[in-house]
Amino acid sequence: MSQACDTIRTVSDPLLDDPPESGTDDAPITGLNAWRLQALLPALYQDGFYRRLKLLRRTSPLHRLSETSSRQSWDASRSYDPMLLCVCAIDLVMERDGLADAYDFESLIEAIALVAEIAEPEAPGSELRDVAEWVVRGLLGSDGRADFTADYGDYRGGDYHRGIYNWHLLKELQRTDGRIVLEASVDAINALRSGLDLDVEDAQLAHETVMQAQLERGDLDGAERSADEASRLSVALAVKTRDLMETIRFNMDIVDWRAEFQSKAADALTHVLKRITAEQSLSEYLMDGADLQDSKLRLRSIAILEKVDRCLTRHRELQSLLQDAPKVFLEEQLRQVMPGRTRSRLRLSVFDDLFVPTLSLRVEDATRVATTFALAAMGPDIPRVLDFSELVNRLLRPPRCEPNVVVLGNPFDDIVDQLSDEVDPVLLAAAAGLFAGCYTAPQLLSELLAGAPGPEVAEVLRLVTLLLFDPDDLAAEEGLDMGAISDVLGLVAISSGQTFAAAGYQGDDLLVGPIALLDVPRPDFSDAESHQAQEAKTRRAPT
Amino acid sequence: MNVTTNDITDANRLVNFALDVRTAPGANEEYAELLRRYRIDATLQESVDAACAGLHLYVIAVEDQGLLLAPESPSIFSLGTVAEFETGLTPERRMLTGLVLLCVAGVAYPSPADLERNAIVRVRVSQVERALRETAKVVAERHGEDEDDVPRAFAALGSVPTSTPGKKHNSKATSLGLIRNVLTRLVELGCARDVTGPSDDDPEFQLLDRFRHYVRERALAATNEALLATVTATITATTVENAATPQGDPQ
Repeated sequence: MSQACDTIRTVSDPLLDDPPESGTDDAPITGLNAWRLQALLPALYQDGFYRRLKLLRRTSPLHRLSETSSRQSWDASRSYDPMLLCVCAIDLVMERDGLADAYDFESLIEAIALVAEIAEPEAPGSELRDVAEWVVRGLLGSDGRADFTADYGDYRGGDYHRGIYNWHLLKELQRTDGRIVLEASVDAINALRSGLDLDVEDAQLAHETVMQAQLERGDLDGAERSADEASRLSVALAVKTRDLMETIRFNMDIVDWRAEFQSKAADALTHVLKRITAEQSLSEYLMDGADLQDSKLRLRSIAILEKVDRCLTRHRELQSLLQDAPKVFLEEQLRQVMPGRTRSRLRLSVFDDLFVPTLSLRVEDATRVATTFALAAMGPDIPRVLDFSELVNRLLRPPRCEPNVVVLGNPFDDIVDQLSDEVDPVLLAAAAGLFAGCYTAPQLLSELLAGAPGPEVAEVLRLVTLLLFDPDDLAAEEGLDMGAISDVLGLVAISSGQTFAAAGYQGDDLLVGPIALLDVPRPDFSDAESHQAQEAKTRRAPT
Repeated sequence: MNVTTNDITDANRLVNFALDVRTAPGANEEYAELLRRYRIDATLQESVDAACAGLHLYVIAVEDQGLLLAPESPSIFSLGTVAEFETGLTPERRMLTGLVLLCVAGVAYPSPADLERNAIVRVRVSQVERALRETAKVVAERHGEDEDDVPRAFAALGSVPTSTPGKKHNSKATSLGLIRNVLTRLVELGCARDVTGPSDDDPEFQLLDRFRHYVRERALAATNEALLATVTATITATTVENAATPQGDPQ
């Protein structure tokens, strides 16, 4: 029996699946009742049984949200479906996982609010936001802990015992560009895949074969469903691979490089390379479909092609990650042997082992201990020494004068005319329309770019924002004789302190808003029609 | 190993990027390239180590999010004392500031496994305040009434008012104000982000990986050592005191 268990575990242990749980050793089953039970229900002693149980538990936060929805601040008669919203949220996050436009907390709330609005079109915007935020926070876990805990009964190993199972559905991660985005866990992906208890790798292979067959016989509905599934599986593989890399970084001691990690990483790389080849071939096949005369068929082919291309992008990223794996391993090894820099091997609870005992101390002792912690936990503090060159530049800059109100035909024309004579007026109007929103509420450059209907408009937005950020210097660089562009538009761009990478751009995420941000009175368009407001801006005389 | 002036320049550029908490490798190609080289180029590693040593800094982590440095003591980059955390702090406020930060970390990473997990944790000011109050109450009950008259940390914490009555913004003299102040300082140091909504009365902060690294790599061991030293000193003092006290009534 124990041998059978081992066999099952080996076969079902995918690349990075959950580690075997405690209590699954080869301990003999003891007692007459235990033997009877084993004969009656052998599954009770097998890992597959507990994998199914885990799967059921993974969805429990969704059920809890459903149960508590009537106790929230909005009217209980509202017809929101929390379960639906939860699955939408996980689906949306998976859709953009690993991509430049991955969802963050705020953008996911906005997206879910849109879904909720269709259910309750009459509901106020604030309520829709509350509903969406409640769903996203519910998936993140209580108090932002990013995990859920459940205890479970376990008959494996012969004796009945209880264990604790931790899992998470969504979590927030900091990307290399500093942006904090959401990631769906393998648990969430598995739960969403209706309990598919297969290796991600095997499932991917199966779906590719099925999709190829569906495409060949013209079943585009089926092919699109398969493409969706393939996309989810590629996210699952990405999450698993990232977890593997994280394990190397944080728990190197438990990674057996030769026997375990190296072969897993090599297998994963082989798998990813095969997926890339298969997806390239699918992509080429679909490209032919994109040339079809029938517009419906063409659009469907393009939709499937986009999904396959997303998988391809993810798999290429994974390829690079896996190819770097040996380097990461060596680098961690090197880092951990650096003298005086080895990480603390202490496995202490900050709360129970440090905070609580410190509270019991005398004030002078507690001061010493608590300040030791504070100083070590805060990292380096950059001395606030004045940058004199920057200070001098700032002091020499001409002051912004009071606005001299002049009605112009279109200030954007004025600017772009001087930048280039060949800018399409349609692009200009589209950019002006997007900037119009900045007069009422400041907007981030990333938000503006996200709203751009195309790359050409995005480029105009970017250029004008940069000019708004540092009009004097940039205008001088461009040889433009146009004074301060901020003054022309009544807008200014300042640093938000954040960075972004989206829509093909990356860099400082500038905040564009009215000059009032700098304590200069903003132009008043409150009485103007929105179209006229775009046409007739106020300007200040160039200094 | 021949170190060129270019290596020295690159090493110092990388240290400069690492100290600028607003810069991320994913948003700065030069930083990303230097970080990539740092991982594979022994000469650059040694040059960075040397540059850091000169500034009394050292590398505690090399992450995709950047190179993480920590100050040796003394260093111009070290806060030195909690008095520098904020000017004009009384000794008791210093202790409370430290306790608040300890509690923030305790709430965010209650178990050792939480310190190993790559995930951003959100904390609210009220959540930390609740943990402070409830724990102080439990510790006070555990101590009971048979303790000496020496002022203890939990009592000092218990005497701090929670909020400023009738005011929207609590002053730093209150626990809610103090917690917000500490978390805001973490934001300035690049260890947290303020994600409080415009209409949100309860400030919320995201604790970044940087903070988790500092807690795990530095603060845990240093604080444990300080705690053990304190406990050992107390036990020794008590033992000496007991030994010095004559047994029985001298009369």
